[in-house]
Amino acid sequence: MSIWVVGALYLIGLAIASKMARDQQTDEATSFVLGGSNLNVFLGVLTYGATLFSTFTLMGMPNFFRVHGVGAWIFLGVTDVAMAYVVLVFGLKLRQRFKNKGYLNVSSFIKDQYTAKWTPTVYLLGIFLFLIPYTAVQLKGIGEFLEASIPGHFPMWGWASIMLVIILIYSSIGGFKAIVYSDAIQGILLLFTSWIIGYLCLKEFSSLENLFFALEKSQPKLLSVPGPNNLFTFQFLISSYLAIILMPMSQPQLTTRLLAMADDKKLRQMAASLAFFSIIIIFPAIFIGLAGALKYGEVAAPIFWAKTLITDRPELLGAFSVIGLLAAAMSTADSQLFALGNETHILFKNDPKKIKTHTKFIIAIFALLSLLFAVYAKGDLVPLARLSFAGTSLLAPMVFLPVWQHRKQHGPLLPLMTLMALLLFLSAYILKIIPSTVFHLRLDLALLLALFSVSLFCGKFQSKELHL
Amino acid sequence: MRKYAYTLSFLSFLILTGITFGPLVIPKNIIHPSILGMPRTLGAGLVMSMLMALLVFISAKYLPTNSGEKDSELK
Repeated sequence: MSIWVVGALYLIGLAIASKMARDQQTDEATSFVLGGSNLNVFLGVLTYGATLFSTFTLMGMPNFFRVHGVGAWIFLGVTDVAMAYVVLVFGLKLRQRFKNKGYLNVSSFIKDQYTAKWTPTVYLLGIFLFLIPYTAVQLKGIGEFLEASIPGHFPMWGWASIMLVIILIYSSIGGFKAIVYSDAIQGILLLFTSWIIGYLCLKEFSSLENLFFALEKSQPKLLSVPGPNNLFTFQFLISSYLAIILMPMSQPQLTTRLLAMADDKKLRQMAASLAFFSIIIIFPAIFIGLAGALKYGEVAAPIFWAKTLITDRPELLGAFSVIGLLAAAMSTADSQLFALGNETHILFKNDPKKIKTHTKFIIAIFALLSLLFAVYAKGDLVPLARLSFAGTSLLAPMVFLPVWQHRKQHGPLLPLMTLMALLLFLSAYILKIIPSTVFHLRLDLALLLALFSVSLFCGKFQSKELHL
Repeated sequence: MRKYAYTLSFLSFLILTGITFGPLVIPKNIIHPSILGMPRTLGAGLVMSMLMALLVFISAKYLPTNSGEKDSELK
């Protein structure tokens, strides 16, 4: 019963958000695709946080602590705070570069900054390759979770379709701003739910000392790195660190949020708040995961999630968990679909009056593609999504170079190397036809370091002065 | 002064990053001594995160704007 009440409240919240966003809309293209670029700090932190953290905060992170131990904090807690530093430094530079020419997306920016006309195609290829499967995995994961949690109503594809229809409705009505408001609702819901569940998990062991004492007796490997499954090695942690802190450059749904802040002062405040917000939102995952290791150490992840988040909790809190997860999946999927739609403008003749119509049309196509992927793709989809942030990080040097050296036009060397790096990455990690290490160095780390070296070389020696 | 404060906080950030990925924070298979009542890697990792967040705050305050340009407004 509670679940339907909380679900109805969430839908009412979304309807109000769409109405508010529509009321604020003007005829300008920035109004629809960047929400008028007038976000305040509160909305900025929540929309960036909700887009970034998604279902991973309540499901993935606790499971990482449960299975791989305390190194999970270095993997995500430290890296997300470090990412806030990149948000600050890169975000301010990016805004300076975008403001004069009125760019609405990254692909238009790099189109102007490179001599090779096919450069945006490499960028679009990279984001399509990793973001559509990632969106599909979110839909599939939550669809299956809802099918199991609320049995007898809809199959997985039914829940996934409902989520997509709701996303299409509110993003068409209110554009980017409606997504921002829905992110704010989701961010608050996620923070509230994860802290209460984290507190209840800790309470079962009376104190922090008891929890760690019990773990040290039964599963000591969870309390240090590299963890019981040897995951958190130095190379894994450092390559994840680099891939994650580069996400503001490599993932368009995050880049857009830096451009949508009202001014640079708000961006500065947003970056500083984001650093603390990251700690606050990830912190409860420690207790949910480590308590889960003691109670449900041997079970599969879906059973751990169902028990820890729903069946072990009072009915109302379980309902908040389910709707919180639904909202989290939707807020990540909507931002990705909208960013994909916004980046693809470049494929059309740029008529500012048609941007709104194009965006809606493209989002609907990507939504359908994601649904088809979610329903029909088998095992191949999961590795693409899991490797999403590492794969898209290869695009970061191509965005970084023109932001760093904007008074120069850059040659085709870096886009070409980026294309080759994407192909090598796919061959090693998806097709598995080449080794994933080079001289004992992880291939993803080696490729990223090579691309950044090339971008520095190009910035110094290979670029022509632009007469601006 | 503004630039000096920013440079100092940026260098501190780099040093903290280096320490985080070194043996002080992620020693192999070592749990003790506990920090903040938690296993060493977790406690030290939390301390590093909080110090980094503080440095983001300081840098946000002192990071100079580009060559004296006014803050951009993308409207």
